[in-house]
Amino acid sequence: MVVYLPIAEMTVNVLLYMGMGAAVGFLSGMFGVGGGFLITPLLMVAGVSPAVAVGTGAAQVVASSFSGTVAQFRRNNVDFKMGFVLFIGGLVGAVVGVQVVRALRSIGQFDFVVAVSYVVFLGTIGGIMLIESIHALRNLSQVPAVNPRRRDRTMIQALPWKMRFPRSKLYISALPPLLIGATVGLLSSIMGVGGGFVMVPALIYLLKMPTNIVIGTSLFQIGCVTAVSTLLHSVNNHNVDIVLATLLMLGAVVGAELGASAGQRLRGEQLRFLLAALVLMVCARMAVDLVVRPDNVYSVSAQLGGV
Amino acid sequence: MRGRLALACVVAGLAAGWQGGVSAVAAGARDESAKLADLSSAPAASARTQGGYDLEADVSTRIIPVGADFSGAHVVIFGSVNTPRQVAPGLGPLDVVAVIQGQQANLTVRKKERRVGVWLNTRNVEFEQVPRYYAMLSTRPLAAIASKAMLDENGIGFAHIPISTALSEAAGIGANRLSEFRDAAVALGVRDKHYVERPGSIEFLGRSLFRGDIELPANVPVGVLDVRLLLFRGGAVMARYDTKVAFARAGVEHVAYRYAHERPLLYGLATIAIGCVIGALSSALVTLRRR
Repeated sequence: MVVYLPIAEMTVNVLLYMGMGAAVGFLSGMFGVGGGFLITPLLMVAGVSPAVAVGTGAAQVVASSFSGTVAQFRRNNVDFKMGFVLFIGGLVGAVVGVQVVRALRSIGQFDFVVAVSYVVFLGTIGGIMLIESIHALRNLSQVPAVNPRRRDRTMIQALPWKMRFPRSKLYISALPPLLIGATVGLLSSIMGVGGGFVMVPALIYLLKMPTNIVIGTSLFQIGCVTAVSTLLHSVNNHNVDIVLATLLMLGAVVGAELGASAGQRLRGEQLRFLLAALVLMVCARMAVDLVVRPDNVYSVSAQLGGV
Repeated sequence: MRGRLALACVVAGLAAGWQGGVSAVAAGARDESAKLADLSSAPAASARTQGGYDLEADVSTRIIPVGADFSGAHVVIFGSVNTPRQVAPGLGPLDVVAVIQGQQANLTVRKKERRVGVWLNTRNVEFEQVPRYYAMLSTRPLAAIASKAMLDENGIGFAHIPISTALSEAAGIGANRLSEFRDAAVALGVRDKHYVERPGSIEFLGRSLFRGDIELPANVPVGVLDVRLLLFRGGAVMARYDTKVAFARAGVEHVAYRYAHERPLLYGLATIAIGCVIGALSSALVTLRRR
């Protein structure tokens, strides 16, 4: 069964792409991440142009994070006030990001910047997670080294514009959440990802929010930011393929359910170790493409009237 | 509960906007099909003749629907030639050449080079008005049919496709680099099956009837294709015939494409709405199953 994608202008096998969505959904359900960092490179490998992969990847994350937010909201795990502050920052980042995408496309460096961003971010986060999870697996009996609830007067505490976040039991400046939100928004636009892999550690370790609230809040914020960046991509770049996005979403929600139940059988450290390995694998794949001589050193891009 | 109500209102609002838009797009679709009807009935095809030679031809499909099941198309080109009663001796055989050309676009060709260990685009050349699709079919190898100048004039064959840069830019680029990038553009077109050159693929069935066919791939740039047929004898064009093959986006693909380009805001909102609906449904299903 094949279907023609109106924006990507190619014919694809429905089951293959739904399967791709399901595989990514499985992993995202298992690890509690949006899966944008997997789906976007996968689409590129499958022959979808990087621009369409990024625009459509963002759309796919809307579905998975929305479904996650609903589930977390039922458990009262979403700090909407914090989410809103993060989202304001995210908006700024996403708007800037879409313009950056546009500029990079016109000078022909978009693919390169996307690949480098992936290698840098996935490499860093994957590496840190791998080390941390290996430590955790070795010293199961010991008290974890980082205590997220510890309150000392760090630089963050000294910043102005303090706000109260009752749900997270925090009284901090609005600046760090705005900045974190903006960084994630920028990544979301450029890399076609939700940015959960940056947001979750930042909220836990920098803002010292409780972990359960971090997950609900970051899902909420990611859903909002990817929705906005989907919108910006459709308006500015016309690179969101609605048919492709629907296929991926359908596959992803089925996969996510299976993944979530599979994830419950594993311990937290084991999950983090596996996720780190996965992140590093994607990173390695992108890095290899950067340094190995490409099959064809030439590439073309056409500018038709509106296309 | 209030949140759910608000969400329902948003979804309903979106649906209403979507419906209004759909009817507008449907009207647009009617316009377009009317245009295409003109294309098929009006004398879109035209012929020019010289010295008693005559070329009549047609294509098997003038309008190719591009719907959800589009996976390429097969087009047959056929026709007949009339020759004058008396032909000067020694002019050689008749040759038919067909050139199928898609819409033109400005094309940027980029070259990757290794810099500090990584491969990145370093040089680029911009070509103006390059056909996004190009196919050449002929009865014999081009060298046997006409001179290079003649092929150049009519844009027949990969070596003679009019691919050029803006004059202001050409000055700054060496001729070697220009032809290197031009060849690369053609090679990429061949890889994507957007550029096809098949000498010997048109055959005469008897004395005047000829036939050739072309396979348009699924990734063909959607637009109007100009089909030019030329009748050669003794290195000169004796007759020509022009017609068109048009792609018409149909069904969901048509609606989606028009929305993406004409109402991008609504299109984006619709994509988000689909995401939210699928997400909410899946979450609802999970809770149902847990109960």
